[in-house]
Amino acid sequence: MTATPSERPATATAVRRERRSLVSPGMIALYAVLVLIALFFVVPLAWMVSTSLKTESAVFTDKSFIPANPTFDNYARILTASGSTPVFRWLMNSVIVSTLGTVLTVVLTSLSAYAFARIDFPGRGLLFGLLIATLLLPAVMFLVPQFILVDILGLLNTYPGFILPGLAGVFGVFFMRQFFLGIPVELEEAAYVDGANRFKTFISVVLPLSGPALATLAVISFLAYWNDYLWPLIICEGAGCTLPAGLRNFQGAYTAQFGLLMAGATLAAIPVLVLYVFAQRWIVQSVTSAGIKG
Amino acid sequence: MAEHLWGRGRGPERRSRRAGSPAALVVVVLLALLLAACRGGTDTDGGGGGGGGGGESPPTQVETLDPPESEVTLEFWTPFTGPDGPFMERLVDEFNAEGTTVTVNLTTQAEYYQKLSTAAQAGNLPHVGVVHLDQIPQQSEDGIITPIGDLVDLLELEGGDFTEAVWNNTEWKGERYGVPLDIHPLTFYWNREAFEEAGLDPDAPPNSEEEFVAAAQALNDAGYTGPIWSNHGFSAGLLWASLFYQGGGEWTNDDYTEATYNSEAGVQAAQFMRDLVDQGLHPSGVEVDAELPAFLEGSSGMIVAGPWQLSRLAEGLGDNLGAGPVPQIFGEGVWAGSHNLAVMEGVSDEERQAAYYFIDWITRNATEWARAGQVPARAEVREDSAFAEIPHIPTIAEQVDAAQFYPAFPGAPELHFGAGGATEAVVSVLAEGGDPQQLLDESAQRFTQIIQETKERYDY
Amino acid sequence: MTAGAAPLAPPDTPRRPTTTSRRRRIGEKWYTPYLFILPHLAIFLVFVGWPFIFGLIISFQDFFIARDRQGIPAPWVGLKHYIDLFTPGSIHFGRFWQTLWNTVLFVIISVPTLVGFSLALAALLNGRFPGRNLFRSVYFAPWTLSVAVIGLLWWWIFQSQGGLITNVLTALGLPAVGWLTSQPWAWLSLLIATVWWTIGFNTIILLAGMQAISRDLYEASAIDGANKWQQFKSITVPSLRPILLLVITLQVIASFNLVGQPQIITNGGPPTAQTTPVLLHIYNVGFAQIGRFELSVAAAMSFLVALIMVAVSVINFRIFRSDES
Repeated sequence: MTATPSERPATATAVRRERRSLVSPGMIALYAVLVLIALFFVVPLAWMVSTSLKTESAVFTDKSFIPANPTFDNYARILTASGSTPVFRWLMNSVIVSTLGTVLTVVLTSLSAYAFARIDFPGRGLLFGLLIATLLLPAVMFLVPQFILVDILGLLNTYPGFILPGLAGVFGVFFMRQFFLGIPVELEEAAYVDGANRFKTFISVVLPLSGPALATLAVISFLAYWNDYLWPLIICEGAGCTLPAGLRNFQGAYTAQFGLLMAGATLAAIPVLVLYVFAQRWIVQSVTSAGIKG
Repeated sequence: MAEHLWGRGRGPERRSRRAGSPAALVVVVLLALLLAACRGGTDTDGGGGGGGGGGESPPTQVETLDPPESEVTLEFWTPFTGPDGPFMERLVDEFNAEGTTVTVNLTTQAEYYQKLSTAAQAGNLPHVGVVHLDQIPQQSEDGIITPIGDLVDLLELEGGDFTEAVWNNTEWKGERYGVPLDIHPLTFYWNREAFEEAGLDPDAPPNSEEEFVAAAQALNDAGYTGPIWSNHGFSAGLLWASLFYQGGGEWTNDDYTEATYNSEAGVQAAQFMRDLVDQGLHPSGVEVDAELPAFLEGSSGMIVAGPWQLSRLAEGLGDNLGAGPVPQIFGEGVWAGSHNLAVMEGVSDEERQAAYYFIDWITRNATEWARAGQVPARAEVREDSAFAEIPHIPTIAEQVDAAQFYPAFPGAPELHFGAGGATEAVVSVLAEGGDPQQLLDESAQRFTQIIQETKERYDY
Repeated sequence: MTAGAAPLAPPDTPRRPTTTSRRRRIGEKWYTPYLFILPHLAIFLVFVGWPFIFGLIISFQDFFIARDRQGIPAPWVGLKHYIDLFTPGSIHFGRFWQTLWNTVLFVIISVPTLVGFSLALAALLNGRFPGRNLFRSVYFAPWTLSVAVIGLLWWWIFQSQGGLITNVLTALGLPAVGWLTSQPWAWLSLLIATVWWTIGFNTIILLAGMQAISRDLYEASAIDGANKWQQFKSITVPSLRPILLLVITLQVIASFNLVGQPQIITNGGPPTAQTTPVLLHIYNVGFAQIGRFELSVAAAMSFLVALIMVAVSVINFRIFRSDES
C-alpha cells in the first residue's frame, strides 16, 4: 500500500528532457549537494569505527581517519571481558526480545484488529475508543507503575518483562484495523457462504491478503523493540540487559576510554546496519507506508 | 512501552455511534482499584528474601571464623569498574585457589546501587557486597544490608584499628553493618617531567595556596595547559569538598536538620577554583573524566583524581608519575570515601559463616588491594613493612588522618553528588561563573528541606 | 497527539461501503469477537490499565519501593505532591518547571529544523536520477540505530579533547567551543545529533508524499513559465499538506519524548539541569536518586505532563480540524 510514485513522465518531451539533463550543470550541482549531505551521515560512522581501532593514547594523538597503528585490542577486550560488559549476551537478549515481541505483536494485534474492523459487538466503540485514547498519553507516565507491576509479577530482568509492556501497545491494532477495513467484504462473505466461521475466514481469507501490512507492522515492531532504551534500562541488570541498555552501563564502566566505547558502539550498530543493507528497500517502504497510512 | 519510539498513528476515527456497554469499563476500573488496594496493604511475595530492615530480630549469631563444613558458593558484588577492578579479581582468585569449602563468584556492577535495589526487589541480592561507608545508613534502612556485630566481635576489631571517623560511621542505629576494607582519599597526581620543565621540584609538590597557584602558573607557562580537574562530581566536586573541609566546613548541623555547606568555607573553596579559571590557568568547561586522558597524553602537568586511577596512570606515565596527598591549601583536610564489606539480606546461616570467613580473609590480605590504589583501612596493615614497599600508596596514605567523610545519615552523599547538590552549584560556578554564595545558598536551602523529610521518614 | 489527520483516508484505498455485520451471523457464538480481542486486551488491561490506576494511586501516597518490600505501608498524602509542584520553594517545584520549559524549548527549536531540513532533503531527492535510492538509503540509515549508539557516538564527537568536531574546528583555525559543557552549544549539540539520527524518517515520508503528486501539475506550470522554486511553493507544498501535518505532528511528539540523547550526550547538560527535558527529569527522580527513589513524586509529575500533552493534542486537533474545513 505504498504511495506509488508516478514515475512515468507524462510526455515524450519530458522524457527527452530528463535524459538530457543528467550531465547538465544543474544535475552536477545536485549530485554535489547530495554527496556532501551523504558525507554528513557517513563520516560520523566512519569516525566511530576509526576510533574503535585505536589504542587509548592514539585516540587523542592520532587525529586521522585511518589509524596509523590499527589494533583490534578494544574489540578483544570487550568480547572477552569479565562480568560487567557481556556484549554478546546483550545482543542475544535483544534478538530474542525483538523477535518474540514482534511475532506476538503481529499475532495479537491482528486478531484484535480484525474483530474491531469486522464484527459489531457490544462495547466495541467504547473499547476501541479506550485503546486509542491511550495513544495520547506519554509513555513515561507508565514507567513507574509498570516497574512496580513487573516487580510484583516477578518479571524484573526477564524476557516477559521486556516484552509485555510493549505488547500492550495500541498502534498495531489501529494500523491493522485500517488495513482490514480496506479489504473488500465480499471475499469474506463468500467464505461465510461456504461455511467458514470467523476464525477460519480470518486465517484463510484475510491473512493471506494482508502480507504487506503484516510485514510493515513486523518491521516497525522489530525496530521499536530493538531500539527500546528507557524501559529495559529500568528493569534490567548485568547480563540480562538488552543491547541499548547494556551500552549505557558500558558508558559508566569505561568512562573516557573512547576506543573501547566506540568498539562497543560499533558492535551494537553492526547487526542492524548489516540487516539494513540487505533489507533497506523493504524497511524504507514499510516505514513510509506506515507513516502515510498512520 | 516500546511504541513511544516511533511515534504513534493517527488519532481516533470517527467513533461508532453505538454507545457500547459501559458495564465493561466499570468492571475494569473496579477490578483495578481492588487490585491496587490489596497491593498496598500487604507484603509482596515478589520481593527478596526476608523482611529485613530495622525492627526485625537479627540473624543467628555466628560463632566462628572458620569456613563452614559443607561447600558454599558466595555471590560477591563490587562497583569496581575502573582500573582497580582487576586487583579485586586477582584477590578473589587467590582466595578461591586456597581450596576451602567456600567459593566466591565476583561480579562487577556499573550503576551499583541501582542494581542492588533492583536485585533486592527481584530477590536476587548477592551474599556479600561492597558498600560505601556513607551508604551504610541508607542501605540499612532499605533492608539491603544486615547487622554484622558478631563478625566485628570475632575479628576483635576496635576503633583503634581504624581511623575514628571510619569506625564510627560503620554503625547505624546501634548496629554495625560494615567491615572497612579501605580508605580512598582524593589524590594529587603530577607529571615529574612536566614539573622539571616548568622549573618545579618534582619531589616537592605544592602544599599551600601560594605554591599551588605558582605551580599552576609555571605549568601553564611551560605549555601544560590541560585541566587539573573535570567539571564533574568525581573530580571538581571532590577537590572542592577537600578545600571545603580544609576551611573547616561542615555539611550539616549536629542533628542533621540543616544543610550548612553554604558557609564561608564552601564559598571560599568554590571561589578559589573559579579564580584559577578567571586567571586563565584552567579551562572553564571540562567534560567528565577528561582530565585523565589529558594527563596521560601530557597536556596536563597535574591533576586531582581518585586513588583508584593509580594503576592506570602508573601504567601510562611509569616513573614519571608523582602521586601524593592533596595540597593543603586552606589547612588540613581531604575528601575520602571508604569501601566496606557487608553481608546482604536473605543469607542463610551457613552462607553467613562463609561470608564472615571470606571477609576476614580479604581484610587480612588487603596489602594486595593496596596495589590498586586503595589505602588499607586497618592500621596494622598500613604499618606493615610490605605495605611500605608499594609505590605511591604510602605517600597517599599520609593524609589518612586528615580524611573526612560525609555525616552518617541516609542520603548524606546526595548533599554532595545529588541533583541540585553542592557539586552542581560548584560546577556551575566553574563553567559559567555564577555567584558561589548565591548558588550554594539555593542548593543548601533545598537540601535542608530534603534532609528534614528524610529524618522524619526514617525516624532518627 | 493528534487526530488531526484522522478524517483523511489512506489515499489509495477505495472507499467501498465496507459493512461490518450489523447482526450476528447465523450460528456465530456471541463470544467470538471477544475471543479475538481478548489476548491483546488482557495484556492491555494488565500492563496499561492497571498501571494507569496504580500510578494515580501512588501519586497520592509517599511510596518508596524499598520500604514497601519490607512491609512498611506507604502513607497517604492526598494532593500534596501535586500542590508542591505548584508551590514555589518546594523541593520539586523549580526543577519540574525548568525541565518542562526545556522540553518546550527543544520542541520549538527542533520541529522547524527537522521538518524544514527534511522537506528540503526530500525536494532534492524528488526526481528520477541514478543513485537516488542509494542516497535515500544512506540518509535513512542512522534512524535504524539505537539511541544508545547515537548517544555514545556523538558524546565522543563533541568532546573538547579529541572529539571530531574539535579536531575539525582546530584544523580550520576556528576557536574551540565547549559543546557539552556550555550553553547554547549543549542544545545545539543535541539538536545536531537528533537531526543526524532522525531526519531520514521525515524525509522518506515526505518524499513518498511528493512522488504521489501528479507530474501533470508540474508540466502545466512549467509551460506557464514557473521556475523550480515557484513550483515548489505553489504545487509541492500545498499538495503535501496532509502529509506535512502528519510529519509535524509526529515530530512534535518525538521531540516531546526526548530522553536518551540528553542523558547520554550531555547528562542533562551544563549543570543545574540545563538540557534535561522533563521526561528525563521524571526518570531521574524516580529511578536515579540512590536511596530516595521518589516514585510518588515521579508519578505525580507524569500525570501533570500527560495532562499537558493531552491538552496540547486536543488544541492541535482543533486547529487542524478547523483548518481542514
